[in-house]
Amino acid sequence: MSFDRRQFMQLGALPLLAVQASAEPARVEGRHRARDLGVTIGRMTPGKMNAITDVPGVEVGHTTIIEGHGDLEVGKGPVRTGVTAIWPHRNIVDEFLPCGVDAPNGNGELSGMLQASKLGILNSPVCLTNTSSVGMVYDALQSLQPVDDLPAGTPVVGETWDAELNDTIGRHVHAAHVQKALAAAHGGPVSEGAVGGGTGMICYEYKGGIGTASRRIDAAGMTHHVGVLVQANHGSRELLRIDGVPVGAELSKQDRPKVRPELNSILMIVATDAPFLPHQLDRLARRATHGLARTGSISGNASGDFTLAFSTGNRIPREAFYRGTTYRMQSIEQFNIHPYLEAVSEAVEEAIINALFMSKDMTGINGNFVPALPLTETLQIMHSHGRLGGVANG
Amino acid sequence: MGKSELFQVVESQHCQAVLFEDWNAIPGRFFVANRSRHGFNALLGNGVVNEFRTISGPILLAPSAMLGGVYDVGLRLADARDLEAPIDQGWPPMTVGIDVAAPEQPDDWKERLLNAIQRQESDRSPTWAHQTLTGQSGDYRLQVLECRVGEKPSVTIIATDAPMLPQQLERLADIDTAPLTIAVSVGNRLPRVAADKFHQVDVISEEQLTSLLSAAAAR
Repeated sequence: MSFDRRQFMQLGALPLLAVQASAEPARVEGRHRARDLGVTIGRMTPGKMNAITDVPGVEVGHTTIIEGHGDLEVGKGPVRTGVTAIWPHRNIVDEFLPCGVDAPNGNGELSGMLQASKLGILNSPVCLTNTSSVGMVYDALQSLQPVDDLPAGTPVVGETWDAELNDTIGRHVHAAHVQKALAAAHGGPVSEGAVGGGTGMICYEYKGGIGTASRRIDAAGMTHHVGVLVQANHGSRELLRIDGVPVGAELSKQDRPKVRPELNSILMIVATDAPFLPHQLDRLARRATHGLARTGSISGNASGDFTLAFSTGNRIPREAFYRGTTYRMQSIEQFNIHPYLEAVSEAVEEAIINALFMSKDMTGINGNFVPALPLTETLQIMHSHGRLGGVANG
Repeated sequence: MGKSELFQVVESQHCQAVLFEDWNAIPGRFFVANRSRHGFNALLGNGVVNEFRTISGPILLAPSAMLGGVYDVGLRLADARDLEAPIDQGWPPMTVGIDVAAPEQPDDWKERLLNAIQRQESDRSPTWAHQTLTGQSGDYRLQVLECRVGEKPSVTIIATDAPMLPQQLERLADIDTAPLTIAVSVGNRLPRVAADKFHQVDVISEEQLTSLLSAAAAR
């Protein structure tokens, strides 16, 4: 028996219950988000989209560039790359947001880290791309900044390295691609897998890329969200764990080609509409590492692992930030932060798993082939450990 | 403590306690940041400062050899308020070691120190050189405690009533060169931890911060 996502949803929760009881999971066709296949990460409730866009005002757009096949010719391809743009809100260059950062292993680039650590503000859209494209994307974002007698904002560009599949040295991302991703950004469901900046990325030696997830927090009559988007390009297959199950170790027993050891990186963007101050967002950013670690990463020596966390719950007018007397911010009380910390950990973990679940096989430069995570076998392993079930979240 | 003072220094049993505003009367937390240099490491209570960026009790300065005992006095101060050790009732005591010899102490020195802090009255002259400087930046006050051992700076505490966030206080601490610099803003008195779900804070602009940094650097 096999079924696709639509058929699965028509069956509702019944297959999952059957799986939980005794039966082997059915063969999975196509790619699906983890939760849709009964993999339920953590104990908190996702937002409606289970995406970073559950945070009101946050929009995501991708430009995906896939061109050519065969041997690498630098400057010509094959090309497997792109750019992912995140608008924290559309007026970010004039209304700053507080932000915090963390870098569990800093062998990479996330511009704006210094500004975030010294000034605690975000005043640019956030773009994710490949290593060689940081400069071009930075300049494209710089052009969005107002030109007047106040300091210009700092573009925020993060990178991970995609040279296994992409002609990264050929620098195929240009300003027009950035502008297209920014213009295409929208709320609602977010495309995942090999899209945008994640197009050529590899995660736990399977095809990786973009993943997203969210958690809803209801407290004191108010609802807030924590949303996460990752560009996942990290990890050794044998270390991969899904919901605590050593899936990678078990899959490694099967005869599959090794892709490469852990050399690479992950970018983790955390958004919340709860009102946080910058130092509190540093604390949120640090919790992203817990979610990353749950999937098996140890933030290897060569990794560039960065987290940026921002809050849309406080907006700081640019003029007030630089000039004048004082401005006012709202702060969540320390006592109430705990669920947000847990939400970050859970959402990061699920976003990484979603990146794996949604990515398809890809062949890139020189015929380099990176397989997608085999979902049927993965679910069988999860089932054998009693960790498959729950209610599908459509 | 005079109305123009942001902190008071109480000297007792070869230790100093720096009390922000009327600490004995009004519980509260203030944003704080510190910078250490030259391998300075005689500091207790820094975990909470790094995580929550607040301070809720006196800063205790003592000869390094007495650090544990003085920390214990700070803990008793906090215990007297709340045995659950919340971070807004003086826990953990921020305790700083000064590189001077520890003189012999009477058996009841901890009680004497505790009483002096609670009474906010010094009972002896300072063990090491220190001076308090004051300054002004626009509407905001600055008060600086400089501790020296011989000719060498040891610890600097910079307080201001300008409402500042922890990142801004780090930049204020950055202007100094002492082995340890602690910057405290009493411009936002934060409420009890569990009092409300949210509270508001005021923040000075970059323009005001630049003026304040200049005033502090020119002290």
